[in-house]
Amino acid sequence: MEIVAKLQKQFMDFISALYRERFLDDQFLQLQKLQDESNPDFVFEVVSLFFEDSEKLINNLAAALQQQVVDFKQVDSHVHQFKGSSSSIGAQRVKNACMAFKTFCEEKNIEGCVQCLQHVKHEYFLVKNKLETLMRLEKQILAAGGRIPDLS
Amino acid sequence: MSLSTELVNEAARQLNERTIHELPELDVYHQEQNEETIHELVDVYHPRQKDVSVDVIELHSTENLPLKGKKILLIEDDSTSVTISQRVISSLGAVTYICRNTRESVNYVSKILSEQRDVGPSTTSPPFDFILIDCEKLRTGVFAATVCIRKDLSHYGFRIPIMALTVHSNMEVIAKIQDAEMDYYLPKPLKPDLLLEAIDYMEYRKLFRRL
Repeated sequence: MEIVAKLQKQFMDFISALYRERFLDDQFLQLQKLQDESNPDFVFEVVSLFFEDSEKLINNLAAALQQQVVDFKQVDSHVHQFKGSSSSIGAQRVKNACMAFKTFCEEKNIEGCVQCLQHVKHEYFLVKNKLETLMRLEKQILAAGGRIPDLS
Repeated sequence: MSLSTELVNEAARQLNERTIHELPELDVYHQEQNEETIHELVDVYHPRQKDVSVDVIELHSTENLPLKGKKILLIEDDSTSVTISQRVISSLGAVTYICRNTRESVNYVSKILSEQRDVGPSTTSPPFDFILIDCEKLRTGVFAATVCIRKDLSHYGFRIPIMALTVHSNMEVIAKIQDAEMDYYLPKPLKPDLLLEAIDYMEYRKLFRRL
């Protein structure tokens, strides 16, 4: 059981750090709370959907900004979706990056938008990396016969 | 109709989101609109009651959960939102009926209501206790669907609370939600305590006949 305790501590420390550094916010903790013995893969499912959606949106945004004549309404619509998707998983920094992005869309500022896309991508890949590590830790805990610690 | 103060405050707080999304659908709920146009729209949404697929998520739990025995219709097309909302509703003990398309939802409600009628009313219990409809993609006929569903339900004498689920905090959208006679506005992503608060409010209103 030594291993389980060690892994659980690792998990707690890691997720606390993510929360402190604002990679994740309360919404992620809510999602963890909704996971239980009868729904053990809930967080993993939501995280996977988030990855899928985000990568699609990033591609769509890149394509939209490369058009000869940029359709800012379309760009805004993608950013809005991205904002919604990141807030549903609690990816706070991505969400904030999207909010800045929206402002540039409204101003029809193409350079601003291009920069924002880079910023959003950057934040997304950072949180993606963190979430993958977190999911791995969860799997290890469960494989070692332990339970995911309660985060409240 | 009054929105919970907390939610209005939350909406006000998020008002840095200044984009106004166009709502190109018909102003079905506008009072000046004549009856004919509404019937047209209703026809568009009821071409025929073909088989509509609805996912039903029911958990069998012995726990005494707050929404045990309740039936909630969730009209939502985004997969992530469905996964989260459905889990929140189930965690509170209710049965979730999921419709992923606004047009289908109108057909589905219509179908359920006429099936009930065919069987004969041994009980006048409504097909659902609450309806949650995602207003995220405003171009997909969400408000028109709400009006159609309301009409159908009142035709059979039911007044089921319809709640709007949306990230839109723009006041104009909130006004549209009020105009479409939504009973409540819930921010996305759905949270269990806010859903319970909304339901409490609705039960309170029913109790004191302030509908």
